[in-house]
Amino acid sequence: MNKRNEIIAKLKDIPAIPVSASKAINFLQNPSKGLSGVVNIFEYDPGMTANILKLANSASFASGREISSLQEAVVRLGATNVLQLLVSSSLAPYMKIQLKGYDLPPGELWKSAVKTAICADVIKQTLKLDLPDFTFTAGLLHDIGKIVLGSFIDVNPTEIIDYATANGLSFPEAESKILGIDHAEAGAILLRNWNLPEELEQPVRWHHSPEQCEDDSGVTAVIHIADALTLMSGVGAGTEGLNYRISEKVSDKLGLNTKNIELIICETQIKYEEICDLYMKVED
Amino acid sequence: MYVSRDPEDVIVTYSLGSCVGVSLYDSTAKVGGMIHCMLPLSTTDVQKAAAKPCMFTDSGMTFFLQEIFNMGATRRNLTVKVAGAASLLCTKGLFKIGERNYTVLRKILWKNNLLIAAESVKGTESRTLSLYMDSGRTTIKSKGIEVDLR
Repeated sequence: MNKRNEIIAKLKDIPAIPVSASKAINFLQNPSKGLSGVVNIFEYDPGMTANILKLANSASFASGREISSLQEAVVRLGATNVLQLLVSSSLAPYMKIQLKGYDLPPGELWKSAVKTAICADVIKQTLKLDLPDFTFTAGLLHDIGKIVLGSFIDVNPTEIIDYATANGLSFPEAESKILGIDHAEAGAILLRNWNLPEELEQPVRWHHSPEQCEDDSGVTAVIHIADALTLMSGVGAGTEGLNYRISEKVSDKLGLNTKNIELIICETQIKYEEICDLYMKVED
Repeated sequence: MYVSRDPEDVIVTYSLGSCVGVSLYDSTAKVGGMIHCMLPLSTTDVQKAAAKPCMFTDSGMTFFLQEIFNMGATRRNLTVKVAGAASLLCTKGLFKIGERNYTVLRKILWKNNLLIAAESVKGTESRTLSLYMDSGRTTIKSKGIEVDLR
């Protein structure tokens, strides 16, 4: 079996995310179902309910009286935040593993997922973009393909890096050449296996080559930049370092300049420091 | 930022991307320290810089030098080593934050009559910088390999 087929076969072995998380992701695609819909997602998931209540009462969110029901938690945190926490706590166990293939210690991929998601939110606010709520989820999921390439497959990163350097390629371009697939495509296939919405597949599939994406919602463009800025801050940069390409076309289209980029990096860092611990502990 | 006079300390800053990491060590006063700065100029956000001066190279380095001098270090005995300032693959200047961090750092060191003794900067590498306070030995770890920075 060639490497590409081996990787695609391994993707089928990865257990699906819990039904409640899948429902939450679908809800974030279509948030018009109202508050009661959100609470219903948790109905059969007592562990998750306990997690959300713990978070709602944590120092980052708590203000005064302790709350004990999911309805109150939704009121205090907001429906979107509650759903994002649910998605986060479901994804964390998949993404906190060590990725030997990228030389990423345990937890590093998850940190980079959280920081990219926060950065995408900051870009959205700073540039006043009208983006769907699932942009945050796309940020969390963008590098999910790395869990296969970096842990289940015996990948030699040095070979890929040397090939990239010798041929003037970025790391994902070299991944494609050597393995027949890059982590972005592997991630998109995984999401399809999990039956997650197609809109979410797009930013994951094209986050390193956004110009090839047909999605015109802007999510892919924002995830591309958020991922780049996260890597620049050193989070999630493994053996391959900063060997990733930025699309100038996408940067121009979003209206990025030195001033707003630096403001975005600054704001992202501050928000990340505020809530990183919360997300790191999220599934405990 | 972290400053120390404990010879048992090993000061580490992990995974420098476009950020710039600076280690300072005075072999006579046996004091040293390290800073990790993210953005070049504090004028980007004056309010945030007031709360977190070390996030910016200009305000962070000024503060760091002051702290190390307060601990008894002198310009004459201070060894300066620098790492980081990497960039993604992009020709567009606005993403060259690593290079801007490095330029601002050089300017501040120059104003303080300090020279860089050794450095590992730019390129696309992610680097971890360590300072061993027992000897002033400074290392860089990149792609899983740790080497002396000298």
